[in-house]
Amino acid sequence: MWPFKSKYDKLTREEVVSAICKLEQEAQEIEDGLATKQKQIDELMAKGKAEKSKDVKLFYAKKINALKTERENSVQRAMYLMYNVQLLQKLKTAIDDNQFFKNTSNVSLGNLLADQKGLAKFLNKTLGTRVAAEDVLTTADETFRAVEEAYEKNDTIYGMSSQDDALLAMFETEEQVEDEQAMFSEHADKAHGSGEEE
Amino acid sequence: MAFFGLFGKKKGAAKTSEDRELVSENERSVNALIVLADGDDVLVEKLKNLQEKLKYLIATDDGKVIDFDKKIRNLIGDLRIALTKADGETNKKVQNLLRDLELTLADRNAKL
Repeated sequence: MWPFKSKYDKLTREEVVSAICKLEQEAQEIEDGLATKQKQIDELMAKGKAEKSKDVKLFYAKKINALKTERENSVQRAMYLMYNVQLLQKLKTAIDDNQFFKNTSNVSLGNLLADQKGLAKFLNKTLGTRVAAEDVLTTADETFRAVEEAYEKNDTIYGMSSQDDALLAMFETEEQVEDEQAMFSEHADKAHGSGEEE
Repeated sequence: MAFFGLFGKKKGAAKTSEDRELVSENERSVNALIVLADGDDVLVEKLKNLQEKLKYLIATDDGKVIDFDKKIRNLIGDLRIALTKADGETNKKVQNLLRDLELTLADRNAKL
């Protein structure tokens, strides 16, 4: 392993955060300056329009152009700063990722997963346990089925006696009579209704 | 045996000392956030409350708790960046980061 640490290894997250903050502040100052410059340009434009002297008009025009050039430069600087900030943000994310993966692999579970032979042994053992447990269940299920198939209903308890049969026949007769009565009353109502209409 | 015991103790004490420094650094870092939040009284108040909580954290040699302190340090850094920006999106981000900080602090205290 290389004994010397690179600049990036020595770099702390706090340093990157400070750099980002500094650049953000600079970008903010430039943005504020842009607004001020635009205001100055607008004022000079108004003055130039109102001015009658050609020389003074020319002076305003040159001043406006100088301000516009300054503004363009500022815009470019702001864009450069933004790009710089984006890259530093990426660097910060990389530092976070590095720390995250370091921490994750440091936990005991990470170390366990690194032991491939142990893992394979454990998985095989688990598979064996699973198969054995499933065997127990399927054997139990077969036992259930075999017992259920061997079972015969007790006719004395669950079968139909002659008294039960007579009662069932009576129920059926009662149901039939009720249905007939309902049908008869419906016909009578219809006949009564048509008689009143006539 | 006594030698190893003593060695182990020293290691634990060094860890606690490092964590004490980290806790103190976190508490001091909030000062910068308060300066950046100047003008937003509600946020300043929230940050002061947070600073008060950070101030009285007990330093430890427990690695899991130290990880929480490191996370708090990182969140304070992110909050500093968010407060440096001055756009509309930032306000929401600041609130989310502040909530994350409160949550991390609560989780840290639950570990102790």
